[in-house]
Parts: sequence; C-alpha cells; structure tokens
Amino acid sequence: MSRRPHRAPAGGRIDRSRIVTFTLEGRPLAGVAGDTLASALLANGISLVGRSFKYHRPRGFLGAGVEEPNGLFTVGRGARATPNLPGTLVELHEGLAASRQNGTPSVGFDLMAVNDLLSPLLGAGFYYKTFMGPLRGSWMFYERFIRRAAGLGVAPSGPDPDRYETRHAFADVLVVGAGPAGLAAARAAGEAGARVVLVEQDTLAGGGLLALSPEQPLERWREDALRALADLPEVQVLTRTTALGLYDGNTVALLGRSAHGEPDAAHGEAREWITTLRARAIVFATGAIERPLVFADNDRPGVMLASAAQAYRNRWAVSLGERVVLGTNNDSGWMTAAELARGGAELTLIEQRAAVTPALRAMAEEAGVRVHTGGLITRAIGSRAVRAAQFSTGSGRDVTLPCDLLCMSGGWSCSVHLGSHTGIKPVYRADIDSMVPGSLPEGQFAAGAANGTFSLAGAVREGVAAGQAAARHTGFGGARVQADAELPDTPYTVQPAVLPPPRRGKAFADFQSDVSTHDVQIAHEEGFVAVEHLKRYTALGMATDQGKTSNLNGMALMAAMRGQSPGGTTTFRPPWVPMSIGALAGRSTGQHFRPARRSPLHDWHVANGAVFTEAGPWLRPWYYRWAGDSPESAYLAEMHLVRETVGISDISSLGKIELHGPDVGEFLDRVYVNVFSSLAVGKARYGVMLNDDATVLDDGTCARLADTRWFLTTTTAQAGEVMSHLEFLLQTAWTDLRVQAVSVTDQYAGMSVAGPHSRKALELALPGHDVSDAALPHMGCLEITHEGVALKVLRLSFSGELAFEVYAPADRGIAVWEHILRAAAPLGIRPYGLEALASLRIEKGHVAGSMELDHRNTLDDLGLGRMASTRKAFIGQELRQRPGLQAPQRWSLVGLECLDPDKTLRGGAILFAAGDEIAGHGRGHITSVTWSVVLGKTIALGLYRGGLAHAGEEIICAYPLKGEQVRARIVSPVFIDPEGERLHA
Amino acid sequence: MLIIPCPDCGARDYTEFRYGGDANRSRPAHGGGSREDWHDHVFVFDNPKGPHREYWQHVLGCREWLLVERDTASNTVIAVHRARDREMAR
Amino acid sequence: MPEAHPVLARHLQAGGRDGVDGTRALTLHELRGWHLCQISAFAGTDDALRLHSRALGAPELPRDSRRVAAEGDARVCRLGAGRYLWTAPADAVMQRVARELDPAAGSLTPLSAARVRFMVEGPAAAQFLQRGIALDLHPAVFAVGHFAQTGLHHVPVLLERRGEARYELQVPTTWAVSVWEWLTDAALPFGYDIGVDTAPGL
Repeated sequence: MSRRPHRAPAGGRIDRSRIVTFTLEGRPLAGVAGDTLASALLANGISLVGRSFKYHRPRGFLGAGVEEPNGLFTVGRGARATPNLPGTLVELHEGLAASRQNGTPSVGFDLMAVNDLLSPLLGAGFYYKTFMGPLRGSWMFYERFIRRAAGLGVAPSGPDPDRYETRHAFADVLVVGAGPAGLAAARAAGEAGARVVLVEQDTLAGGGLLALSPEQPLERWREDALRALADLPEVQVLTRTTALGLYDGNTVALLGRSAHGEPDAAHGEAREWITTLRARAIVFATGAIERPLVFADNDRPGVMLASAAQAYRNRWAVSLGERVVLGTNNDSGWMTAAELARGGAELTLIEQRAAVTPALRAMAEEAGVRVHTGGLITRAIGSRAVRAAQFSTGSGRDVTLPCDLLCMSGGWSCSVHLGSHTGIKPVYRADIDSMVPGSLPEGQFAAGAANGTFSLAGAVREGVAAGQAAARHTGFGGARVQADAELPDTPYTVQPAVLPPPRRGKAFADFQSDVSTHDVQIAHEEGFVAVEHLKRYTALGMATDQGKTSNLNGMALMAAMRGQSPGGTTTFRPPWVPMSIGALAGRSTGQHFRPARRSPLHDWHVANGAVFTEAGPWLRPWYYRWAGDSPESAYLAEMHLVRETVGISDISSLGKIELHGPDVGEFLDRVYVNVFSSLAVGKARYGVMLNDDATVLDDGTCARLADTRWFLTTTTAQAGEVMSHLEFLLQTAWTDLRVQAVSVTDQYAGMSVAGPHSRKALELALPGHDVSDAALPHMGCLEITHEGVALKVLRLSFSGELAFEVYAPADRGIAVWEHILRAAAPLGIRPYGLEALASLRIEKGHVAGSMELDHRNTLDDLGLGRMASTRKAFIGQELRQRPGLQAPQRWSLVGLECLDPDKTLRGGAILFAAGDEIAGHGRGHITSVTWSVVLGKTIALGLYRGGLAHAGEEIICAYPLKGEQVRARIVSPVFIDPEGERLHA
Repeated sequence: MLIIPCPDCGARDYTEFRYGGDANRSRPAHGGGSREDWHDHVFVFDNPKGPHREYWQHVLGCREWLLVERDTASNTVIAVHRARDREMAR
Repeated sequence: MPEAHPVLARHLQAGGRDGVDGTRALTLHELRGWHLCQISAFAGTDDALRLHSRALGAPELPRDSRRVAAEGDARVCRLGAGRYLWTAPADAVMQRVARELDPAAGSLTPLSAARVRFMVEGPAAAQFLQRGIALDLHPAVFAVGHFAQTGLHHVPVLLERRGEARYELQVPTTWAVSVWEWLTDAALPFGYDIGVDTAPGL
C-alpha cells in the first residue's frame, strides 16, 4: 500500500477544517467532513479493500457510488455491525468502525487466495457437476466447508438495537433523481403549481454535476436550481432518500436514512425508514451507470471506472494516479481523460474506434492527453495494485504502459430498474448501446441520462418537458421555465465494446459474483441460451450490486457468442439497493408487531392475579393465581369452583351485534339454520350459521330484547367474519330487508356468572330485581337498570351449570364486576379464566370455535343436524344435501373417555380403531381435551369416522410426535347432566 | 400497490379492504335455486385476464361493500360502485 | 352510580417526554365528558329517519360523507349509507330519540363506551400522524372539518381535522391501549405532553 498523500490541498466538496476520525480493523485513520468511507480510505492511500467472493482475489474500488461491487465493508460494532455495505455509500462520521471482508486471516494476507489457483475446478456451476455419482451423498459433507467459504460479510447475532419507521406520503409529482434532469423537472413541475417531491439517494443534490469541480461555471446552475426549488413552498427535496421500487398505482417505496451516524434511539430517532409515497405522476431522472471494459485481470486494485476516478478527483479531492491509462469506446471517456489531465495526471487514452471527431482530438490535444486510436486494452498488470496496462494496437502488437491508475469507460447503461419488474420491458437503442425505458404508462415520464440523453443541455430540456408534462397530467397547467442557453450540448457516440484478444489472466464480467468470460463461455457451451438462465447458472448479476456494472456486459458477451445482436436483459427487481430488514419491519416489532385487544375489565385482571394468554389479538385471563401457580393446577381449581359453587368469567371478547328493524326475524331465519322469527321478546336462542357451501360459519346466541331490537353474539374468533357476512347479505343479496346491524363488541363488557349458586349471586348483587326462574327462565333475557347502569342479563350456559351472562357498558364494566364479587362474596365467588371456561364446556359437549368448528365440517358432522329447520329456507340448505356431506362415513363428533389412567389424551391425536395399523390419517382426531372434575378422568371431544355409531367401542389415540398410543372409549359427547337438570334449576 | 377509489371515502390503499370474491355470478334467490345453481354459484367461476368484476368491503373505512371492476393483468381499477346501488338498480 | 373506569387511566399517568431536540412538539389528550351513538336508517327509510329524528330534537343528518356537521353542541357525520355518528356533551336528546323514534324509520345504538377519543395537537401533528395514517393530510385535501374513517396500526379509527394543527382520533375501546402505545412510541422523536380534557362540548 502506497503511503503517498492522496488528498489534493484544495478543491472538492469537502470541509478540510472538520476532521473525522474512524478506524479500519481497529487502526485509527482520519478523513474530513463530506467524505465517504471510500474516499477517506483512498485519501489515506488504502486501495486494497476486500477479497472477491469465490477466488479471493485482491480488489480495490471500481466505482464511487451505488454501482460499487468490490469495496464492501462491515461497519459498526456488536449488534449494530452491518456487513456488505459499499464503502462508496457509507457517510463518514466520527468514530465509525469499519472492517474489510472475506479475507482469512485478513484481506492483506488471505489463505483462501488458494481458490484463485483452483479456479479451473471452481467455474460456473461447479457444484452441480462435482458432487455427482458415487460422491452424491458427500455433498452434505463438503457443503459445510463450501458454505463457510462462501458469502462475504458476517451478520451480527444480537437483536437490532436501532429503531426504524414506516411513513406515508403523497405528492402530485414525484421526481426520482436530483441530477440536472431531475432538478429541471422538479422546478418545472413546482413552478406549474404541483406538489412535488424530489428524492435523491446521495447526500447532495446534483447527480452527475457533483463529479465536476465546484469551481467551474456549471456549479452556478446547480446552486440556482436548488435555490429556485427552496423558494417553492410545495416542493420538497429529500436527500439521503433512495427509491427502492415502483409498484402499482404509481406507488414508490422510498428508503430514507438518518444523517447521524448514531441516531438517538432513546428519543425514538430512527436509523432508516420506508416511506410509501403515492404519486399522481412520476418522472424518472435516475441517470446512468458507466460500464467497465472486459479484459484480462480487469479486477485489479487501481482499475476503476473513468467516471469514478473523476468523481474522486473533483468531489473528494483524492488523486489516485499520476500516470493514468484510460481505455474507452465512447466520447465521454475523452471528456474524463481531459479532466484528469487538466488535474495534473499524465494521461494516455486508448480509444477502441479507429476514428473520432476532430473536436474530440482538439480537446484531447489541448489538455495534453496522448491518444491511441484503434486500440484495445488487453490486460492489467500487477496483483495488489496495477502497475502497467497492456493494449493491442491496430497493427496487432501489444504495448505495455506503466501506470498507477487504469480507467475504463465502456459506455453508459441507463438506470431503468425501478419499474422494469412491472412488465414494461426496457428496449435496446443501438445508437447509445444501452437499454432505455420501454413505453411508459400514462403518468410516468423519463428524462435525461435515464432516457438515453447524455448531454447536459439535453438532460435539462427533457427534464423541463417531463416536469411540465407531469404537472399537466395532475391538472397543473405549465408555467414556462427559461431555457438555459449556456449549457453544453456535447454529443455522445459509442461503438459497442469489442472483446479484446484473450490473454493470460481472468477477464471479469461480474466483479462481485466473480464471473469471468470463461464462465459465460461454459454457460454458452452447455446450452444456456436465455439471459435468465445465464444469470442463474453463472450467478452473473445476482450479487448485492444486482448487476449494475455487469448486466449489459454479460448480455453482450452471450449475444456475441451466439452471433446475435445485443438487446435482452434480465428483469431487475426491487430493492434498488440493499436495505436493512429492520426498515421493512418499521415500527412493527415487539409489542407493536400487531395491536392487542383488551377487555374493558383488563386492568382489574392485571391487579388481581390473572395470568394472560392470547386468543387471536385478544389478551384474555388464562387462569388466576388464587387458583394455583401453574395453568395445570389452576384450571382444575377453577372448574371445581364453577361446578360446586359459583364463578365469574370475562366474556367481553365475544362478538356482539345489535340488530334493529322490522325484518330482523326474517333475516335471522335466512341466516341461521333454525327459526328465530318466532322468538318472543325476552327470550334468547342458540343458533348456528352456515356458509353457502354448508360448512359451519359460526355459532352463537341471539336474544330478542324488544320487538325490533335484537342482540346477537358470535364466537371471539369469528366476530369479524360474521359481521362482514351479515353486511354482505344486506348490501348485495337482500337490499330490501329493513335491517340494520351495528357492532357493539366495544360497547359492552360481558361477564358470565356460572355455578349452582349463580342465581343466588345475582340476587345478592341485584337486590330489587326479580331474577327468579319464573322471571328469568332458561334462555330468557332481561334489561334492568341497577344504580343507574343499564344491564342486559341473559340466562345462558356454556358450562352446563346454571349460568347467567351480564352485559354492562364498557366504562362501568369493572364497577359492575367488582360489585358482583363483593355482593356474592359470602358464597365464595371468585373469577375463573379461559382455560377453565374452555374445559367446562367439554364436559357438556358444547362445540367451540377453532377446535370443533374448523371451517370444514357441517351441521351434521357436529351432531347438530336436528337444529336445521324444515319449515323455512336457510343459507347452506341446498348444498348441505350433497351426498358427500351426508355420507355416514364422515368424521363426526364423539366424546372420548381415556381408559389408561396413568396416561393423558392430547389435542390433535390421531384416532384408530383397535386392530388398525397405526399409520396414515387414521379415522379421526381429537379436537379438545380436559381433565373432567366431575368424572375424575381425562375426557375429550373429537371427530371420528362414523361418529356415535361406534359408541362403546375402544379405540387408540396415537400421538406420533411423542410416540404415544393411548386407549379410549367412544361415548356421548355430553358427559354430564344429559337431561339438563342443572341448566333448568 | 392497488388503490381502490371508494365512492364515499375516496382513494384508499387496498389494505383497507377485504376481498369478497367474484361478482359476476348472480346469487340464486333465497329459498330458490337448484343444487346445481348453488353449486355453480359457490364453486364455478372464471379467472379472466383483463377486466374482472369483484366484491371488496371497505372494512377499515365505511364498511360498504363495493362492486369493483379491476383489470387483473395491470392491477388497476376500472370502475367502482356501491354494491347496494347496483343491486337496487337491477 | 358506579364509577367509570377509563381504559387509559394508568397510561395517562406516565407523563410526557422531550423529543430529540429537547422540546415537545405535540400534545396528546384524551377527551372525556361526551356521549356517542349511531343513528341509522333502513333500506329506503333515510328520508323518514331525517324527518322523525329532527322532530325529536336530533341534529340535521348530513349527506356529505367527507365533512362533519356541527349544530350547537352536537356533531354528526355520515359513516355510510343510512348510518350516522352523533356526538354530544349530554345524552338526554339521544335517550329521547332512542325511546320515541318510529321503529320503522330507523334505530339508535348507544356507543358512548365503545370509543376512546384523543386530540393530537401541535405544529408537527400532521407529520406525526403520517407515520401511521395512509391518507393525504395536506390542507388542500383534508381541510378543517373533514373526517375520514381509516386504519391506524391495523385498527379502524375515525380521524377528524378539528383545526389547523389539531386532529381528533376516535378509537374502539378494546383497541385503545394498543393505539395509545403506538402513538406515544411514534411521538418519541417529536416530544409530547399528555393530558386529559374533561371539558364537555368538544
């Protein structure tokens, strides 16, 4: 590594007065404000920046921006360490810690460089061909070593400590790219009155103008443009904002990043954020990327894109070479050569074309550039740093030129990536040897280098036109912008790059994936003719740089081998640049992953020893600590409580819908399988709803509180489904029915008071109200006002015990709950949770959502066939009659008693008849299990082929995951109180 | 991202809506329709490339059911009506 | 009358936080002291509902689905076909309408306990809300008096622009704590004050 100072004493867009210290593998270094990690390293004379992916060849920076394939770094420490960041995109900040990648033990001395010697064995697709035949099983042995050798950086193992966000934004016109075309477009659209957002991935606006020295006259144009934009109140310029991809509806995903090296996470400052921006019109001013030339050892440190060398010189005042050789096939290479020569370098230009315009020759001569036309660079000489360039002249003789910088300008590829995955294929333009955007849909426009227009005057002209067109598209008539007369309008001509005669050494088409011309040759010889296959077989374009400097060269090589003209390309897909996974997650991590839904009684449960579980989005008390310390013991104590005295449980999560109107009875008759129109006021009924295909949608109860006012409950899980179902029917199928459905799940807290003493408990809690068997019979309902609070009391039971459901307005829920607990305290009332609630009903044989109701089974499968009315039509009625749904061999509801006292049954266990081979799908499965406090044994509900026709039979419950087989007997699912005496007490 | 212009609420991201299936089939009248009619209504529908009439409910908005004509190839909305208006107009 | 228990009681005690630059650019208040109901028509009875409810003292039901109508202390907005949300500081008229409305013309559903209402205020209010609300809040598009039913953090909410830099959010009660946690988390960089506003008539 040369220690010669590389920073010019003056010039550049940097602030030499602000020193920024950083480390490289622990070694302290210094840069200045405005540096990237790349420019700072180059200024410090460090040009070896990594080892290549497969062959571990020493590499230097190829570019200066987003196209960089070689210089990937791990930046940050500990859990913040982020691998594979291009050093050209890392803003230098105080204390930055960076390491180079892929060298063992170090990039400077890498043992894995042996791979370069083994390269004949490691060509494209080697792993498909090597581990075949008798060695097939050995792939798993070798894979471990290959995997360790593969990849570039190492991901950190700790959780990401940074914060990320997502945001939403809207604009009339989005302009992507703040180069000359983008600046002109934003200004034109803004002056026409449109709301404009201009995004630029760089830290500064200006695009290609930033590679020109700030001292030269075009800087004025840039500053004027920015000032004009700042004066327009409806124009926003966002730097450090990268457009990741274009989506339907003119939606663009933008990645914004913090300007601070260490964002203030304690105050919620995000490191990165994704903004979903919905624009009514978009202007793509995304510029173009220079192509490298393909010649032997074109990957050596010191071999660089010409435009990058110019940017390092003019933007960061880093001079990379005193003796420069520049190879080119296009006019822009001449411009760069002249720039570098004027900056003091000794410049030799090797031009592929035999003849160029006199204007170019004159410019080169004036700048002091030595020119060879009709020449092709054939090889870079040097291993850790280039020290000479070899080129073949028109006469076929190879010339060697000593140099310390070898620049390549193989033409420019327009950046058409953002929308190419939406189906608009780019098209090839022979006059610029590049792909340009295909015909864009309405509301989308392209301008400048992205559109194949490389002159500054042309870019600005197109930008103005596009900006005005975009503004017009969104309804803002154009204000005329003064055309700038003094902008250079240099022509651009190019001759497609010719592959030089081969020399010893690898000629790379894709630097990051280590794909050489030899690999492309192998793919061609093996018959891969489609560009998508070339990509996947060789890995060309598949690395983190996504082929920005390799795609078109690869395609051109393949086309040449096949004797075709170039023109195909693979489909680029978002994101445009690599991005943190955290940014995709945004704020939705941890407790914000999804919202939680809480009962109005939640705070009471928290304060009174509830242990919670999740039921969908709901937080529900699972059990209470008064009952025990573990779920296994607690739920049994709670079940005993309900079976023997009285308990109270929070059922607020049930869906609750108020139905109003003269036609509700008719509506319910159509929706439920059983009759509701005949239900009297003050009565409730259990109902089941089917889908059109006759599978069970939901079960619940519906109470008639007044002539035209009903109160319907659903299962917790299906509340949303049922509401949408009812709304669908009322709005599309039966629009004449006078029914209004209103969700009141949030309006009421619901509590179940259950047990043999539940009526006594209510009598104590509601003195002065008649809740006797006569006033409130089984399945009756009452509305009462107690101490000013309106309550609904329904006599329903899920558990099989005498039970009541009390609904109070949510804001009085805790007050009512506490009141009941206090009033009924002499009875020993206590709260019970979801585990006990769900287990008690098993003893009673009640089917429950998400266990027995699995969206596939029917009314008859669940033993509820007798509920179906024969007097009126209901949804699902016709398809219920399909022979397949009536077949006796369907799996239908059974009860199961465990016969092995020292074993337990498990939910999901597969059921087999005695004598069956224990394999395959069996004859059914267990849907719910509990210890029965009444029977003193484990019981279950399940679905079994042929159902209760097999009552009394002994079967096997197999749980293969734990290798268990348990004997059980098929019994009625109603394990207790089949006559319902407890219910009717 | 698919943007659906709700007649009452304006243009919204499709994530505010819930897809409700094919709207080209006419639902047999309640209590009517043979088993074949219902079978065809529930299980048989086309999957065209191009304009497609479908139901969407604006669940995070006004909760209206909408009849949307969407081009399945370009994923753009061609026309939107309130489902109830179309039904009543029939 | 048993005590009301606001679901945010515990959370509002936490106090505000300074933002990244040491200031507080937002205030987040819970509003209390109001009543809410949905008044609805049936298919074809929208006009009848208007007449009958007006006669009982209810405010005029708006036809506009974008703007809130204010009449004295009461505010009404149209949620959808035949559905209206009515807010007022007292519920005497609501109760009268509930009792006396012709059941063939429409219905009234009390929802006072079903919602929690927040006011978000401050120069950064719109910018802050755009962290989670996927609506264009530009004043030319969403002016004072406009409202929208939309989603925030997957929860259905109603957003109304009450002033230049003042927005009201109505959130279903069972989701309110989650939404509050989201709001205060998103407000961290801005800095915020929190409080409770019990003055009725808002």
